[in-house]
Amino acid sequence: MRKRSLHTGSIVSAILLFEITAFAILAIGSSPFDLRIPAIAVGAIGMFLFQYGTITAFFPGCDRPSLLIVNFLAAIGLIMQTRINAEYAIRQLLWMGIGMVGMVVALVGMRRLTFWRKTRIPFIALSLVLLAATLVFGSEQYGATNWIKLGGFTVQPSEFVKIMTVFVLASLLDRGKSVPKMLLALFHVGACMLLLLMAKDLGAVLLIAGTAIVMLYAATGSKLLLGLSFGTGAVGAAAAYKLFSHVRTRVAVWRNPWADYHGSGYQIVQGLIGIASGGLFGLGLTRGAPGAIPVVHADYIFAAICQEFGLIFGLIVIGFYLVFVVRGVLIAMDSRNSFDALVAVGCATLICLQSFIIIAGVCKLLPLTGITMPFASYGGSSLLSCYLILGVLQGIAIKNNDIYREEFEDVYDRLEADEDDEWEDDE
Amino acid sequence: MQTLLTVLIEISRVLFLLIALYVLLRILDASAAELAFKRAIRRSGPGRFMGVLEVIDARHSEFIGERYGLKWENEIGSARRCDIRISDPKVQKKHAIVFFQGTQAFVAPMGKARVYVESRLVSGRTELHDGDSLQVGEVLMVVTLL
Repeated sequence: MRKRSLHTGSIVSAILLFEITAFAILAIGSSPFDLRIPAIAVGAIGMFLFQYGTITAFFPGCDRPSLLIVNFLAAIGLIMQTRINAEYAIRQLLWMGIGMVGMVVALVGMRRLTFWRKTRIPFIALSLVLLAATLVFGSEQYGATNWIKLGGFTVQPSEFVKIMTVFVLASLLDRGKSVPKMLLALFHVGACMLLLLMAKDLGAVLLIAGTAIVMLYAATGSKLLLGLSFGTGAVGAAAAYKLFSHVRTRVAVWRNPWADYHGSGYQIVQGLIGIASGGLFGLGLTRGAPGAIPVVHADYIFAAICQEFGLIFGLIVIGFYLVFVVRGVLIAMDSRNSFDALVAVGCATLICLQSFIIIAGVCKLLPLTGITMPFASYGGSSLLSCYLILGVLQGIAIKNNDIYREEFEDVYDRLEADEDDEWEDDE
Repeated sequence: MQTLLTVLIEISRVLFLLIALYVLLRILDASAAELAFKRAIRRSGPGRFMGVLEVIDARHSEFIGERYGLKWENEIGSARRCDIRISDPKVQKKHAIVFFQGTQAFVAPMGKARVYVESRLVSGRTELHDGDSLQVGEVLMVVTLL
């Protein structure tokens, strides 16, 4: 069996060609000529090459496919932000830089530090304090009180609470079933969901609930607990529908957005028109009208992508998310301890649910929830949290590969010697 | 310039699609190849690990759950150069050695270190069986032989 390496040179070149062509179109099409566009292009390409080059050089055991997927999704997002408004793209670039630093910190942290199992109580306390503070001091944006102003920036604490929830649940569930730990996990998840529901952040409620259910099943394998979780979730959803008017509004608008086309249904309808108008191959970059879709730079970026790049391209983007999630699950299956495995499952589930919920919302498969498309949507906190998730997954992947190499060193050496012989024969 | 832009946009409608498809398919292909390679490695020969030590109890809870693969010879201790490094205050720099002879596993304390097998203090070379408990310092481990 010959070892086939992932020769990433051609993939990197393809992504660079994509970025250069797209930014060239945006620059030539801008009238008057917008100097910010070439600057954004140089920044984006430079950041991509630097990040990919240094990560793969310093951490050869990293998961390169998921790194490439993230860079491609981020490139698509940045191109669309530039297309919509160069100011958004500049801020997005800044947050990408911060996100990449955060990714490296998370990567090194997962590899080196062994105290993550002990962080459950501090993380539970911090999560509840952050969410309560958001409720009290937060500002409302797009119908949800989930932002805190810090100087000139607005931060969305729920983005970081979801990552902390993954670590809390992993540390409580990694040693099998234990009633006190299960109750603590239930308390944490329940309290976070309640605070988020009160803040009208329905997307984060769904994310945390879904992630908790998946991690519970991954940890215990218990179909009974899975059934109970779904049952509780269904009862909770019904209760939320009865008790909270904003939930009822969202569901009503989702069921028939055309009933109030100029009001609450405007965004959904414009998004659907946008997707349909793009057809299979898209109208072409700069040929669409993404400005007609409210909040297109954040929640509805998928509609803008489909309008200008086409539905087939949109399906490929969904394919990228699926591959990323599958690779996350494979990293979990390769993990040598249950804590790392659960953290990897939790992180993969977060990305899976987040991308599914927003794309399904844009396509009117689910009610809109106001969460962002991972790596592509505008949003500093969202981008940073996604890069932190990537860093955690990469850290676990590197640990797995280091152990794998040591465990099967003789076989690796033999296979690599065979590969060298083949190269010599070819020469 | 407008003509150039129009031509570029029309070409890009297909180009971007092809690039995205190419990247996705290459990544899928590489993922499949990686899975097949790992499967082939596992089938092609025994791993170097002949056993596993799993920490089931310790004074410092951070060790609990840690698993250490056992190679032909394994030095257990708190020193950096040990094969199995346990940073417990009661574990000596070089505490014990676990080694294999054929398919049999043995443990021997090093120096004046205290080693317990099945809660009994051992003084010299002692055979280890699958499922035995092994204690060094305040760290209790269970032995699994592969």
